Amino acid sequence: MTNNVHDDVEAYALGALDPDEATVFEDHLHTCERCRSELASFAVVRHALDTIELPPPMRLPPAVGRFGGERKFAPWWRNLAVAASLAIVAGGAFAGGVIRGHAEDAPEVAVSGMVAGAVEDFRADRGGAHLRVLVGPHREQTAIVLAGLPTPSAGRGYQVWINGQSPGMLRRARNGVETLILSGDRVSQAYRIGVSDEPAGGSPKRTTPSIIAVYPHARLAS
Amino acid sequence: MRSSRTFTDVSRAAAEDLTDSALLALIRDRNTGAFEELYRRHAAAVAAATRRLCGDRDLANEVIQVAFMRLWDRPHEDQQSRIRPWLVRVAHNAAVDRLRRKRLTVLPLVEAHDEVDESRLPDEEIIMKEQKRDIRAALRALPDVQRDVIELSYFGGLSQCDIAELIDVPLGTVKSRIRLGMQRLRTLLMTVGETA
Repeated sequence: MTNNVHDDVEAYALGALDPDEATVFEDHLHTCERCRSELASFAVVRHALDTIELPPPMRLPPAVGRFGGERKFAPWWRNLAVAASLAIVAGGAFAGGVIRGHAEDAPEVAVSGMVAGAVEDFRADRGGAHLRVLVGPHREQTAIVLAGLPTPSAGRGYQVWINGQSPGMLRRARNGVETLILSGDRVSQAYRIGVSDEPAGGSPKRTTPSIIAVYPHARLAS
Repeated sequence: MRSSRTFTDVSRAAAEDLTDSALLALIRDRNTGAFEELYRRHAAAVAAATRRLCGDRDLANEVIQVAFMRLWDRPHEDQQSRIRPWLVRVAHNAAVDRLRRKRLTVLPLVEAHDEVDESRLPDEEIIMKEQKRDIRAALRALPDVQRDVIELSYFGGLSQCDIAELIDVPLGTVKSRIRLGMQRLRTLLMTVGETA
């Protein structure tokens, strides 16, 4: 049976394509305005599915042990802003958008500065993971921030994909939040910004299914 | 970077920070904390992916336990990179087997239980509840065969090929059901948006 790649829009939007199929479709999107527009129209479905909260897990099989209850997840970006505010109060000077402190916290703090003045703000939640894509004031920077995922396995990392191309790997802060900050506005031409688990250092093509994604084009187009 | 030493037990905080593959390796060492974490991560999604087939809560509980007990008993099986789809397959097959033996038809869907996030403001909560109601209504409006494949994919993490193999229908049929189901959901949700 021959496959018409145009027919894969719905499956791609749902996340039902294998990694190889998804890569082929993403390559196709670069040259097909019709499919890009069609994909954007399914953002409403993805967003709606992402709002479904699953029922709490049922009791654990008795032969193994007791179940200890469900974990609550606080809005992590509020904690981020609070932490940055405390850092300012604690005596670091705020200069050029970066607060002096631990170097590994710099992206986290820079993001907290962008939150208040963001000109674009896209979010997605899936299975405990929270993705947020921010475009800062004057569209000089784009921040991709991910929380709620475990530390990648040895030799692995979380890689960002914008329209099937990768600008780089997320970097993990001490509090477990993963961040990638890019120059310029990376959202205005993006129909899909997603994250997948890839080899450390990055992969030229996505090798695993997307963990979570946002679809900016639909909102920007409306 | 995590060390590879074996734990006799793993704390909840430590378990939350491990990948599925790492937890599976600990389960091979009979680590109950790791097993609890995998259960916490995947049980609800596996239930959601198989709930319409199960119909009633007792059968749903039973097949969930079958799947996780098999994971505990035989963690050496090929679950490495995709534990959730593996669990969904085991639960789905267990449900089919039990329904066939009991010769039961599928009962009306049991409504999902929504957790209320008490940190939200009241007006935000109302809007969120309405949005959840809309998607649940839209899913219920789909033909069963379209709803099944969408839930197996979205909640169960299965690809089109996985679903075709699981429910034993041609791949082309699965693709068609996903295509038509997603198009219908889009129409229903956009209609709701226009009338809101």
